[in-house]
Amino acid sequence: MDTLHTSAMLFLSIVFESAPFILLGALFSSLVLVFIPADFFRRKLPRNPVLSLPPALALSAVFPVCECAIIPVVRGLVRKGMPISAGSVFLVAAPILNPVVLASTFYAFRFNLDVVVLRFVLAAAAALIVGFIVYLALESGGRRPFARDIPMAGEKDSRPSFFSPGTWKRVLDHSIDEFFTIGKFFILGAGVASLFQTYMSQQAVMAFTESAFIAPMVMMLLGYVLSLCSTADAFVAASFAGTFTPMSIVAFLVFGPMLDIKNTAMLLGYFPLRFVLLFIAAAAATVYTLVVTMQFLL
Amino acid sequence: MLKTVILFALAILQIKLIYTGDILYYLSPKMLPFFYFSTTVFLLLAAYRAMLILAESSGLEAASRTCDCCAHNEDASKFSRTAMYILFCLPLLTGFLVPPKLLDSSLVDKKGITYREVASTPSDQLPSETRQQYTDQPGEIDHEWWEEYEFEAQEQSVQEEEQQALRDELGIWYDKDYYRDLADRLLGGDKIVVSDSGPLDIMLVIAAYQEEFQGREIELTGFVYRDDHMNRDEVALTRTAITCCLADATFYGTLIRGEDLHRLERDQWITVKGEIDLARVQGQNMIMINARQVQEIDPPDSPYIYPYLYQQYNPEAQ
Repeated sequence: MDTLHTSAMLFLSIVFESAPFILLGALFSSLVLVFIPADFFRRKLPRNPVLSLPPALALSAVFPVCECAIIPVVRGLVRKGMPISAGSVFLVAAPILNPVVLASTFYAFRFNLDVVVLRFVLAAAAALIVGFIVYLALESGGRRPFARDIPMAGEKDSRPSFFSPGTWKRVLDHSIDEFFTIGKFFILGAGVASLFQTYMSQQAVMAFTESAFIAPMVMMLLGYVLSLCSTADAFVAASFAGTFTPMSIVAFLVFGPMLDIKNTAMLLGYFPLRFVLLFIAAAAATVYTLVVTMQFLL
Repeated sequence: MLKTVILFALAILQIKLIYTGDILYYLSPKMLPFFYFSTTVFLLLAAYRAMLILAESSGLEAASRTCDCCAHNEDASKFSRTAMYILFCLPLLTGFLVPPKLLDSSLVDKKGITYREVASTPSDQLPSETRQQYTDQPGEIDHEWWEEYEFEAQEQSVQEEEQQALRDELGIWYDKDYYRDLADRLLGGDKIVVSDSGPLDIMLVIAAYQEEFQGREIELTGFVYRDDHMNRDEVALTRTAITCCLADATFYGTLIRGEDLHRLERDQWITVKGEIDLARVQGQNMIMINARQVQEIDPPDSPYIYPYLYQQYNPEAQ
């Protein structure tokens, strides 16, 4: 009962912390929906989706959004015709490549700058690789798998007027719908994450510190289950600094923000199941391979 | 209609938490501006929806509430809409009905605890290990304390050679001298008081310059934590550090030894007076306090400490 009480505290804490960012994500995605013309990406982006991966990486470094806010935005962009491989780059890179995360990681690992550098380099590399895998699996040969599968309301072909009240009413109405759509998946994810946090012993991971192959996997799993925000996970990672190798900690810091319980719930709510499965498999395999490779190179 | 009610309820729950100050049971002060933002947005969106409903019911703007963009959602199955409302009721019900409580030993059991370890001396022949944690102590507080909280750094032991390497690497960013100054200031007084207020990175400095602090008198506060590895006469005096929300809580402990410690309950808040000493636990040197006097107290007004993040290279600011 006591533990359940603690779970309730953590659950509310995660909800209160993320609500502002989910609201922002809903608002951004509504702006994308209303103001970006339906054929915008088809006209502006290179024909071959692979060529749009590096620009997507650069853009995701510019937008300071966390993993909760990026999902509705990516859905909006994909619905407008952005290749889903470029969307995957956003999903992987945006939560890590941003100044706030840099500041907190740098602070928590001030005495271990390798971890800071590796976190950002590996996240960028993983983003491109995951994007490429998604391209190979779903979009090679000019296929456009999901553009019309993803349910999204309120597309009008007419060019919206910036000053008309009707336009802003659509933005507001859509933001509210979006908030409720993403919110239910988020609440579900936050609930499961808070139960894991309070009922699962994180001490157990200490048994796996030795193996070069298993330790990164365990830390990735821990990052997934704990569902921390990318701005806050550096300090938790620092508390493992004495017991785990730096590369395992990098695995935690790179994989945790791109995928965790709460954003898996949100992805499942927004994207077709086969994309979510592909994305999770690609991200996990990429991060793990990168980390183990770096472990032997360094 | 239900969405409007939920938005209003969310706004009211958040306003209630701000008004009572209980929000600090859930979030670190750093997150409060975002919390104010979401509260305002919930309120505005609820008001907007309410206006639409009013306009519709008075027939002024017939059929305007559900524009084409809601068409999909109207089609959604009854089941998924019911599920959505139930899920949104979860945070509302827990928020209104479950009283807030402090994180305690039951969570420390799961998450583990970090001790202030002291760098091994060369004779120890142990694999060197570098650890650092930074936490800070908020100022003296009441329920408006987030307006005046101060950030402070605490750092765990850092090996000398690491520090040298760092000094070369970071140049002016490196603020070791600040810690040295602090150590000198602490050593200058008769007694070291680790309070919630006051701009002192005390535990950091004590771990970094353990030899100089050996045997000095100290007073510090925290709650009692025990695990299976501890003897009857040992407890860990624990503080909870929160970066953003409770999910990222980390626990920092200081080992206390003393005669009657076994009578203390877990989670009891205490103030310990004693002498600084060194203990060797599971191959690690760590700071230990030989307790002379232990006083049971109520939890302090600011039970959590917050990692110091954005002012790291400006020790002069205080």
